[in-house]
Amino acid sequence: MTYKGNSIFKGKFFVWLALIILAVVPLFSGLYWQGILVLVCYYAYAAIAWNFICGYAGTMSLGHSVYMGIGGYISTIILETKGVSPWIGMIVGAAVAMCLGVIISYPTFRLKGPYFTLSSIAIVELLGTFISNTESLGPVPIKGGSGWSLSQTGNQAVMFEFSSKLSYFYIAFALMVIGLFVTYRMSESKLGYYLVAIRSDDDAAKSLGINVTKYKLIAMAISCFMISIAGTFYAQYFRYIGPDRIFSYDLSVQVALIALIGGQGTVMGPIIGAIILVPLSEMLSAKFAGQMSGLNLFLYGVVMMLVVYFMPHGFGEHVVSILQKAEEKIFGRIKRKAKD
Amino acid sequence: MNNILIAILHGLILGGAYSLIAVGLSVIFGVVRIINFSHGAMLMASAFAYYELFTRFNVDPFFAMFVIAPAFFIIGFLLQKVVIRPLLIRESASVLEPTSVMLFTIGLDYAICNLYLMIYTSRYKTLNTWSYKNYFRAFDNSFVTQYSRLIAFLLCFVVAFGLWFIINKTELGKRIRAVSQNRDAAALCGVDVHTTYGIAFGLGTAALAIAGAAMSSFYLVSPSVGNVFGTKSFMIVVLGGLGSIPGAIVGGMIFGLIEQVAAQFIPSTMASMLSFAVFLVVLILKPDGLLGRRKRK
Repeated sequence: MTYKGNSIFKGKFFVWLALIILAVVPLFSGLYWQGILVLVCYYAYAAIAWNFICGYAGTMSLGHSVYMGIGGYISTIILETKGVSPWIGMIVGAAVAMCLGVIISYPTFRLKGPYFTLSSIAIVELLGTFISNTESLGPVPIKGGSGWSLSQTGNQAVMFEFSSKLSYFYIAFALMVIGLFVTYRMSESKLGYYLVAIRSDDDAAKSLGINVTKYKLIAMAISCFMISIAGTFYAQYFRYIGPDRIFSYDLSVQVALIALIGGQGTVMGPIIGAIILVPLSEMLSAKFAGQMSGLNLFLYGVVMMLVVYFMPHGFGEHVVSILQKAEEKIFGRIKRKAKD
Repeated sequence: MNNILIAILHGLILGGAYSLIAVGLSVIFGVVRIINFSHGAMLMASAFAYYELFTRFNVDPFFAMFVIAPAFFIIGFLLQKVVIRPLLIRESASVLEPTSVMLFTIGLDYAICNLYLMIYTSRYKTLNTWSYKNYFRAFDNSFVTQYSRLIAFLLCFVVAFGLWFIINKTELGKRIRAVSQNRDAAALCGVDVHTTYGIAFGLGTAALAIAGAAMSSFYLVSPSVGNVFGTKSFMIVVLGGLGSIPGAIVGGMIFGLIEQVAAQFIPSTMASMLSFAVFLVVLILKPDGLLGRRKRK
């Protein structure tokens, strides 16, 4: 049985159940697990944003960290220089990232398949090098490779600063749920169907009168808007933002792999990918801290290869079918009795 | 001699090294039609093989390559024949650029790079070989470069000519060309498609191992070199036209020239940004590359 994005109804119960469990668990867990769950939600949200264009329209971008970086940098810079609250900076950054995404993608969407992927990598390298080597852009300080360390002033909700990890968790969780909802609505709308048509054959889609570039650009704009908010969250949560991580090709690949492993082009795929991969890699890298620095990313690579081999549509459909079988076992009898 | 001419010479030498790294990728793309994202990781793996041989047995990479390159041929052949073949067969409907193979090689790249990071840590290593320590001097000492770079420049043409000769002048090459033009028609004519793919993949990785010998003796060896050169070699191959061997040389020379000549006027990091920008502009204006032929579906 295949689990398609538009058939969320079949798994709706599980989606709600999973979300409620995810929302409740950190209330009873220690700081360590709260930290991991924050990362789960953060990566899931970023992967949802990536999936919005790359999963649905099939344009493999490996440069999405650029938009995350721009969102994070803009909100951080206007916070540190002008004292504007990151809540406002987040929206400003997202708007800029969205415009930039459209400007960059308009020419590069003409490229197909791996050519588009390569162009996205070139953009990440270009902007990453630029940010690491620029101390200031006119009157705006960028701070080059050293990045920005945000000052800590305590618990200020207005300034996106909290003393408890739980607050950050619920912000990331809310972002994730909003992302999920937006993706779900998109997958059931005209845009979603257009994107799936474009993914399967863009020439055929064009011949049916779908304005391929227009709908891809709309999806790209929404995707950039969403992922740049993840950048602001990153800066505020870690209290640091620097080009090594946030403008890196590695982060782009990591986000893409989470969505691909979970199941690209499905509503739940990115979340399933994040729930499986993030705790595993965090626990492993904590266990071997300092000795084997590549272990968690090595794991991503190996899991990716296995998924390509054995589960071409991602983990998602397997998880869902296992859960549905479990449902059948547990509730099937009761349901049948109720029918009789 | 004035600085610009010297910079041009340095650019050509560096471009030769870039071309040497990119030419194998070009062959693999031209024949198998997949972009091998693990190219950089394999380059790094070969560099560590030379590192081990040099530190343990004191074998110069330029001699060791006569062992390592055939070994990499076998690795590439098996990778294609055993691992990638099932994925290609599964996607036989789409002849051009199968995505699951691309995703597989991205995963492979990540796995290899981080495996080496786990084993060797991120510390940089240098191979203090003869060609690393000694410098070639010309024009009254105004042009000075490591011998290893000069050898890389010469090797680039040797390897490119070798590959061109195999593909265009031999019986095997005839099969390789047939498969690259139309897989199904070649299969109907009795060509063993997947063995031919394997040979092409092996040739590409063997060329890469030769590049690794040059790179490990003029550059640093660390798990991150794969990323540095891997990304650039994609750009170079696309710039010159995917699948075109002369294109890979032209693309590499352009990259080398931009980096060295522009570095005379702007900071060198900005110069490498410029090369990415040039790549983007060429890609958008002429997606088939400078020397690429338009491929019809």
